[in-house]
Amino acid sequence: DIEDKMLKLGGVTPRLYSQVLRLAASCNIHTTLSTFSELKAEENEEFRTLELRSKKFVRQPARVMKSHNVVPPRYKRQKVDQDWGNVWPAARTFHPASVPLPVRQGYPASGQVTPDKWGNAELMKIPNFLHLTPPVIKRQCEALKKFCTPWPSGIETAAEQEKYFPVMVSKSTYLHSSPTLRDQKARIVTLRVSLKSLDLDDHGRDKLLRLVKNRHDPTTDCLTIVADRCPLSQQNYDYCFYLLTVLYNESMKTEPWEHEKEVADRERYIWEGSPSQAALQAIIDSNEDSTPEEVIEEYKKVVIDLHNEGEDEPTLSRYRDSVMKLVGLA
Amino acid sequence: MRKVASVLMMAGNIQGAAGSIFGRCVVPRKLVRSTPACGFRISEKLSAIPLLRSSLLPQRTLSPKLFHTASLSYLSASDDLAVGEPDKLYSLVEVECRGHDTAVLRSYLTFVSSAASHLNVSLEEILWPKKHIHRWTLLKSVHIHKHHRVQYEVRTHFLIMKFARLTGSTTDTFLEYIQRNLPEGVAMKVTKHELHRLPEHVKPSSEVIV
Repeated sequence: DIEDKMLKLGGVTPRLYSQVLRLAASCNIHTTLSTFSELKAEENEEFRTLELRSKKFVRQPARVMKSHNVVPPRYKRQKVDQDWGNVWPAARTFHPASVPLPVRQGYPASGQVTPDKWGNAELMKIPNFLHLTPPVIKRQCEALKKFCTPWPSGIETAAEQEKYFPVMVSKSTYLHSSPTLRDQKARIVTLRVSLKSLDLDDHGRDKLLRLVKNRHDPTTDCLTIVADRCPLSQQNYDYCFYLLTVLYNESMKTEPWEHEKEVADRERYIWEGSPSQAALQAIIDSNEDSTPEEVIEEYKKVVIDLHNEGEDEPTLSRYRDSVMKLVGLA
Repeated sequence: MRKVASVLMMAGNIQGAAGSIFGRCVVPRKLVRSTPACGFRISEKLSAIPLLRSSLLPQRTLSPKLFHTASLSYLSASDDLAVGEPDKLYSLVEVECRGHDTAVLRSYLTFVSSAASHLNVSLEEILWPKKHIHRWTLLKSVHIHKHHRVQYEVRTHFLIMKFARLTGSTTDTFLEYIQRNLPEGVAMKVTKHELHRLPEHVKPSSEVIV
C-alpha cells in the first residue's frame, strides 16, 4: 500500500498530517482527500491515508440517460379514410413516419429479412409517386379540363387531315436537368408536304424534283425540307415556308435556256420522236397485212416500260411476247 | 405555363384560405367561351367545312385588383395565343422519356396514361426501345498496376408514348402537367407534328380543300 510505504519512508505522523490539512484549508489551498481517507478521518478509527498520487478509479453511479418524450409516428394518428392528397401534396422524399404502408426495400443481409422502411436509404433515394395517387390525378385533371379544347370533327383520319392541311411541320423540344435550359437541337424544324397537294404540271414537277434532289421520297411522293441554319426555331420555320414558296414558284417558271434540254437530260423515256418509233414505223410499212392497233400500242407501252423501269424478268418477257406478236410468230 | 400552376395551387389539396399567394386570395381566372367556330377563321363557306365548328379557344380574363402589384410580370401573356387566334392542330405528339430505372419509367407511364384518359387525349402507342448500355474501363490505380482495372457502366432505358389528334391548347396543358410531374433522373423529348395549310403563294392542287 502506498500510504504504508509513505509512513515508513517519511515518518509522517497523523497529527502532522491533520495540521497540514487544516493549514491548507485556512489558506484556501485546494487539497484532495480520497473518499476512503475522509471516511477514515470521520470515523476516527484508523490512521488516515495520505494520497498524493491521482485517485484510483472510483465507481460513480451509472449515468442515467434522459428519456426524451418520443412522439409516436405520424401514421398512427392518421385516419383510415383521410384525404391522402393533403398528406402528400407534392413530390417529396420518402418519409417513413408519414406513410402508413409497411413497405420494404433493399437486398437483405444473409439470414436477414428485407430491410424495413425505417432509415431505409434505398426507399429515400428512389423517386416515389405518392403525390400522384389516382384520386389526386383525377382531381387535378378535372381542374385542367377547362384549358383543353376538343379535336375538331371531320379530320380524324390521316387522309382527311392531308386534304385540309397538306403541310406537316415537325419540331422537337427537350427537357432534362442540366446547367442550361436550352438545347440546340430544339431549333431544327422539318416541313413535309406531299407533291400531289401542289398544283404542278409535268414540267413543274420535273423541275421541282431536279431542284430538291434527294429531299423527295419517290415511294411516298413527299418533299421534306429540314431547316437548322438559324438559331431560333421560329426563324427556321419561316425559312422552311419561304423555301417551299420559292421552290414552287421557280418550278412553275420556264427559263429561256430550258429549251436546251437534250434527250440525255430527260428524266424519263418519251416514245414520240424516238428511234424505236421510227423502227416500228418501218416494220409496219413493210408489213403487207395491217398490224392491229392493239399490237402497236402494246409494243409502245412495253418499250416505254423497258426504258423507264429498267430491264428485269417481267419487262423483258413482256417485250419478248410483244415482239413475237408484232412479227407474227406468236 | 402560369395558368396550370395557378390552377393546381387552387384545385389542390390545401383547404380553406391557405391557397393564397402574396398574402391575398387567388381568384380563378374566368373563362369566357368564345363564339362557336372562332377556332378557325370563319369563312363564308362554313357549310363546306362543317367539321371545324367544335373547336373553341378558351379565353382568360383577370381581375387585376386582387393581385399584388409588385409581381405582375409573370402574368403578361407573351407566348399565349391572343384572343381570336386559331388554335394549332397536332396530328401526333411523341413523348420520349429516358431514365436509368425501368420501375420509375413504368410508374410514370401509369401516371401519364391515367392523365391522358382523364383529359380525353388518345394515347395511341407505347414503345419500349432496347436499353443502351455504355461501358468503359479505367485503371484502378493512380500509378502503374496496369493489370488491375475497374469497369463502369451506365444504362439508359427508353419509353416512347405517342398521342394523336391534339389541339394546341390541349397539348400545352397536358404537356405542362406531365412535365411538372416528371420524376428526377428522367429526361424527356417532345416531338410535335403540326398540321398546316399551304403558304399563300403556293397554289394547291384539286386534292386540297381550302
